[in-house]
Amino acid sequence: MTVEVYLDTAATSRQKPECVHEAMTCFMREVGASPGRSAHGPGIRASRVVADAREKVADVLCVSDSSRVVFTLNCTEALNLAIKGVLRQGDHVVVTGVEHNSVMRPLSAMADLLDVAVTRARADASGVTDPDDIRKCIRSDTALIVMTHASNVTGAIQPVEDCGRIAREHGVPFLVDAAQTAGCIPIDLARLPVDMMAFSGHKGLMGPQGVGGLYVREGIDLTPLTHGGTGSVSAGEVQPEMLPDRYESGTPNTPGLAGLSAALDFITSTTVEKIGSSIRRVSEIVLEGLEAMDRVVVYGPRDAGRRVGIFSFTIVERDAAEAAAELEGRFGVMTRVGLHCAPAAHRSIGTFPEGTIRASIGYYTTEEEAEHFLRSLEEICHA
Amino acid sequence: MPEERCIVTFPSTHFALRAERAAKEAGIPIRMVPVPRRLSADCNIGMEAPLEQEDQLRELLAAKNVECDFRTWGE
Repeated sequence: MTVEVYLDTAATSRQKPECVHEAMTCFMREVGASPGRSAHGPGIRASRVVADAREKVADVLCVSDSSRVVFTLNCTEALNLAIKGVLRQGDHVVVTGVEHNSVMRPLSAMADLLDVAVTRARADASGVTDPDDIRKCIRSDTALIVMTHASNVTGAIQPVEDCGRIAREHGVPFLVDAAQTAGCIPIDLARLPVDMMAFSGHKGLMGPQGVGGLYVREGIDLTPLTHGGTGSVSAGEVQPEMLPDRYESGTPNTPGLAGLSAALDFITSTTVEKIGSSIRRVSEIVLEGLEAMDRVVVYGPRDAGRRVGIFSFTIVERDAAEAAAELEGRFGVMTRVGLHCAPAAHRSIGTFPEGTIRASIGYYTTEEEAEHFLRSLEEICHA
Repeated sequence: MPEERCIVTFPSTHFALRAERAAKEAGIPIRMVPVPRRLSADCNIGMEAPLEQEDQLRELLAAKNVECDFRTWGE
């Protein structure tokens, strides 16, 4: 049998808990109606699917009012909603030096459309942002600070709490991109000084693709990204004010939310802490193995506790794409090569424009798989 | 003669479903029903409950910050 080792969880978790498949099939076969519209039986059941998913996301992120959790197509759409919803003509924005293009491209678009100015705080060579640098970048017209919770290139966990406190001192809304952390490390929005948090439903939360969301703290008003039917206040032709309807127009991805809801049951019963420590254990094996290879340069923090399960590396005098193709072709190990949609992060760690090979692990990655990957890489290095 | 019941209407589905969850957890025998058009033009999904449990339901939904309106229904 061909060995398959999937190490691209940072793109999407490929293996899902069995209950995710069951919940989606059940919704498709037995419910199938549109949520939030009709009051017939299947319509109410579909509404319940969405409401349950929302409550469970709120529980996992420690949000007391679930109406502040808005569902989107993915984390990118959530970031677009937050960024475009907050910014006005001529505003100034502070970002870190390791942001994904899902942050940088909406900001570039806002720079063109609304003359928004962007200042990048520096990241050190391991891809970690210094909160003091964020502080130094803040101006009187700063309207938003955006920070990834953990870099999708180096896996480095960013000092979100410290930066959030700085943002609060200056009265600037603070947006966190939790694409790589939600479901992998505990997040407590009741305690964290975070005003908006974008998350993906299909990475660490182990739901299907096509679901994500944005947490919006009370008091933050965003211009909706889309306007349309919500099933509520139907007599009016203007967008409702209340959440979540204000930011959720049109029929949502209800089969996807059914899957996400089931995944959240799995996560809650397993606990994020246990998922995190399982990822950490495999991370330590990967990190130690990579660092022991003299032809491999590994980026990001040296301590597995300061990163999520993402490992970017290069092989001395080897083309990354060719090496990755060989990893899959000869050993069945699937990685991702290039810039990972985050050129800024590669500039920060000095791997632009060639990029890196990225191996990323999740809850289902086993120690044996990590060891198979390391053995395979060793062979490639010495070929 | 059908028994008199109260019907709760909501500004959005989010509140209707949160109310359903809260009522079920509290053991109040509610039923999610279509809202008669003459009662509300907002969310189409309403909640029906026995009249004698209206006060308990009002308190519960207020405590859970569920936005809603109570109407009496069926005579």
